[in-house]
Amino acid sequence: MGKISRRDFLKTVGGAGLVASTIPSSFLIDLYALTPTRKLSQVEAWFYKKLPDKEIKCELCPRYCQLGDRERGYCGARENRNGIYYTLVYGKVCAAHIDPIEKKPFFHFLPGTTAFSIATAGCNVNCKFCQNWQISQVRPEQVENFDLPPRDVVRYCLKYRCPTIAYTYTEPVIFYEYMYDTSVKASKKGIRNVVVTGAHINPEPMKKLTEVVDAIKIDLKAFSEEFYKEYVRGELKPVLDAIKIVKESGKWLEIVYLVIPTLNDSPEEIRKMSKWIIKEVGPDVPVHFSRFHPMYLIKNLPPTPVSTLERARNIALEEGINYVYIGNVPGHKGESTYCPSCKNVVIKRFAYQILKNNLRKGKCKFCGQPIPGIWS
Amino acid sequence: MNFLFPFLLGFTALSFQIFLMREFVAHYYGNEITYGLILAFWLLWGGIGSLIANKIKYSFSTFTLFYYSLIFFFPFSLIFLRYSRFIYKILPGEITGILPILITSLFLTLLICFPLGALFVLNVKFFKGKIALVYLMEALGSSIGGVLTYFLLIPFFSNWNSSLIIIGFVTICLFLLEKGKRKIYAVLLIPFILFLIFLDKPTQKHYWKPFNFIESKDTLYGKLSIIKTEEQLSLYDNGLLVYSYPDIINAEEAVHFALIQRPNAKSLLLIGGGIGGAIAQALKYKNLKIEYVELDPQIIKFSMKYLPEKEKKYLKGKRVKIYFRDGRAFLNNVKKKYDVIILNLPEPSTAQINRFYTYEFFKLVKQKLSKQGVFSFKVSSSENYINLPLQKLLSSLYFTLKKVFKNVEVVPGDTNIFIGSDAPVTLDYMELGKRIEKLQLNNMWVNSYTLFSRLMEERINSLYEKIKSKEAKINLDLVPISYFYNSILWATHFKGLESKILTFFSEIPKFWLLDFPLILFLIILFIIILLKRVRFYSYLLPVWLMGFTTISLELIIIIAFQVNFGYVYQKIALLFSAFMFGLFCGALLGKKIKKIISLNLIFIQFCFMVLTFIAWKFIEIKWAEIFPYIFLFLMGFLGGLLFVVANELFLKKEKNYGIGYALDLFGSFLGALTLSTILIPLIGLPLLTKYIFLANSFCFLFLIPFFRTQH
Repeated sequence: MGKISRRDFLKTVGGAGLVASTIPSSFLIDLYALTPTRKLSQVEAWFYKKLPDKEIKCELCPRYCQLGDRERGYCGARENRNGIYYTLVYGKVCAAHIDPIEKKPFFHFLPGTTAFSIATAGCNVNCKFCQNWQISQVRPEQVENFDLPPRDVVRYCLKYRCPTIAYTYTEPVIFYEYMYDTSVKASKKGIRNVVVTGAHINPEPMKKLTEVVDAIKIDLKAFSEEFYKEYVRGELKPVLDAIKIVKESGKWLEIVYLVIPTLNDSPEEIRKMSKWIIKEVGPDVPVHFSRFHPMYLIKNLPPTPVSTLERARNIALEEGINYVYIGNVPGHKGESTYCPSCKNVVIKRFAYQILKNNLRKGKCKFCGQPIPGIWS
Repeated sequence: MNFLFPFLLGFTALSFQIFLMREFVAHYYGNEITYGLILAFWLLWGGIGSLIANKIKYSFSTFTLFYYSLIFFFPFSLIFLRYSRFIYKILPGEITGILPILITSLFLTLLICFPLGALFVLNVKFFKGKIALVYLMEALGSSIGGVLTYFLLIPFFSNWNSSLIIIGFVTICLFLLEKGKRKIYAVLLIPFILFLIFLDKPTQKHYWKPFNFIESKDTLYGKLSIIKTEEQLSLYDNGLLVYSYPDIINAEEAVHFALIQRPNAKSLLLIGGGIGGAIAQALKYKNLKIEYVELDPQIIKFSMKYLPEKEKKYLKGKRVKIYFRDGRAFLNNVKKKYDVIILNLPEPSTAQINRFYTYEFFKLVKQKLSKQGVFSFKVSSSENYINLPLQKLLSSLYFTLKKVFKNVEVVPGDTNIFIGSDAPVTLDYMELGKRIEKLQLNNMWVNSYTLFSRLMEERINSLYEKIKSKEAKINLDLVPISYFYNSILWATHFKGLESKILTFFSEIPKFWLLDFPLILFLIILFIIILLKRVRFYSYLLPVWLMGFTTISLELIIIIAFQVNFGYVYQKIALLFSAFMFGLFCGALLGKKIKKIISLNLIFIQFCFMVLTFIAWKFIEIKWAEIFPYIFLFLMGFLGGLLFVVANELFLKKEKNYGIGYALDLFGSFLGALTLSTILIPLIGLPLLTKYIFLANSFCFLFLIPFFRTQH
């Protein structure tokens, strides 16, 4: 092996962070070639209370972890050091990819564009069906991270010509400070920020977050506390509260409901949820019923039958929700957006691709009905 | 008539073991570690049972009580198995960590094996110390139990009904053996057994809740279950999802990535996984003739009962030929060449399946491919981040495939599809999209609408950076490293210690796995020689080693056999039977020897040394098919002989009936625990047999001084 590998070459040229901070964005090395770092961050966390005896209480999420010195929160990404609570994952990215925005999924947000998607390790819940368990169910030191301070995120985003940054894959709530700072920096450059979250978060931080990001997709994992307790190890109520907060803030909101056969697919549950959505956030919030594909611990469960998803979609439509989608069933008619007034196809989709866009300045081209969303 | 007692012991032990194992892997995730653990605990409790039974005061009623407890506990353990998931709050089909497997198997084997171990000693007491007779009859019982189970019960009855037949048989025997009024106990068991007949289906239905369980069928190879969710049908094989129907995404993923590389391919060989939509997808290529090899005919026959007409028509179509054979054996014998070969089997989680992911297998595939031919297989992966164990697994597969094919590409995503060929292959989504359009495949998932994001340059590069950047170990037939990586990956699903333990073993130098235990063994031998007073115990040392050696070589020979001749149920069953019949013959000869002297033992140990030497020298050679049968028979023969001879020598000095049997089982326990889980994948068969030979040679040398102290 005479040749040196690409990675070795980059190492000799200099650390990735150095390259990123001194050279304009077009000269940034490719994402996948970044050199991993062993160091975690030590940036003081937000939303915590100091208690006597160097104890702290985290108030970011409904778990309210109360921790002694040198203890970590449930998420594994925050640590009490000498009575000060730190985030260990500020700028420590473990996954960064470019995805179609439809994959997040956002259907009423810059259709046909890409999102620069990043995540750090850790999560504040523990879903048995997690798609990203290799990074969400571990501590940050158990994965390969690389340095990507907010400034570099913006640069990479520009380099790859993504109009949006998505905070996704794991639970962005656990890298709140990093997400917040990056959003502020990105907004200044005209980049949009979207959050893909389970919204297991307290009201105050949620409110603050809505001030700096443009859209939030919330995973409503079921509409029962039992399901949340058993399969998510979290609570439903804070999620519902968070949904209301996002709506009140006026920021764009979409809801995803991953339908797992027999666990959260009962018509009663779907109807109850639809009624709640209509009552609390109105009929214009898009709702996606996504097909469960066997993952992680329940890898051997059957995938969701398409008819179950169709039934759920029909219930939600019956209840008056205007934009109801079926996810992960490529080619299904439930992937497209229909005008609630004239019933024509406004945006025709196939999987992650936009086949036809009949929107004119945010309105249906056939009848002029405004379709809510962020379209440009 | 009394000889039936020890006969029943061997008979039930073997048949119960087979059925418990079959049921266990149908309910818990069955990888090599699971198999290793159950077998190990089985042997461990047997050993402990026989040690403790030595202290039990013998009476005829306690003696028979143990038989009754067996009859009661065995069906109980099967039922318990089906309900145990509720204790751990896991769903059917949920992947379980080592802890639930450990606790459940410890408990179940305790219920059955403790009485089994105790019964050996009680039998010896019943026969007033005639250990050779008991061992002989036990060996006969297990030989007959094995043959009966493998050839008469499993092929024709479900696990449940087979177990009841065995229990019924034991009950009848007990009725005959019991004295006078006590016969009533056996009669009382009849309603209990009749009641059990009706419990099979309801307990399975409970197990599958909240899913709608329709029917199950025990085949030669595993338990098939059909589950229905709405209009969707799902087939499970030993708790693993084989397919859901309809499930377009999986069906398309299975074949298109390989076929689209050669849009004009004329012939496809599909190894496994054709049912559930894959064949229908492949038939979209108009000129393609499909040969589909499936190991278990029941997968298709059983599915046919439930699949809609449309799907059945595809399978019966003119362009499709189905063969029921082991995929590897099929490839070995087939004369023609194919344009595309697709392997669509479960992941390499056991040594049995690992054979399809090795360098030798890939080479065989290449021989059966046309010049432009393409080979592909899939492994489930992780789209956004690849952790270290997954990286190791994927790397080992990548480099193994790359060693055989000039061009290898891997499709990123939650499933990685490996494509190898000596001619060019491409992952250019524009090109692939064009081909898909031109052929009018009308795919829902594998089409340009998804490929543009899945095959984005950045995605491909980040996958390649992970799997190509570091050299990895090649997966070989005799050093099946990939299944070990698969075990570590499984272990990382849980936040417990298991992944740390496995990673630890994968990183320590071979010295600690091989030389260190051998040196330790040597030191123990020396200590025994130095402590002259306990010398008579040393007669039993070869028994312990024999337990270890026989189970180890049994595992090794079975793996090597499957590599060479494929997995053929009857042959594997016959291999086990050959060993057990050997045990019986060995014990018979041992019983015939009039005056047993230590020279006998030394000679047998010498034979063991020679036999292990042969194993070492022959393991890498492709032998005639008859060889492993003869080998296992001889090993059984020597094992049985050694057990009888060593125990007779020992019992002359001390009347402790349990210890010899216990040591045999403890040796086997150690072998079962360490070999399949750690040593085979990490060390490989050739080196391992060498060290087994060395251990046996040391034992032989250790025995030589006894020749001089002849009585």
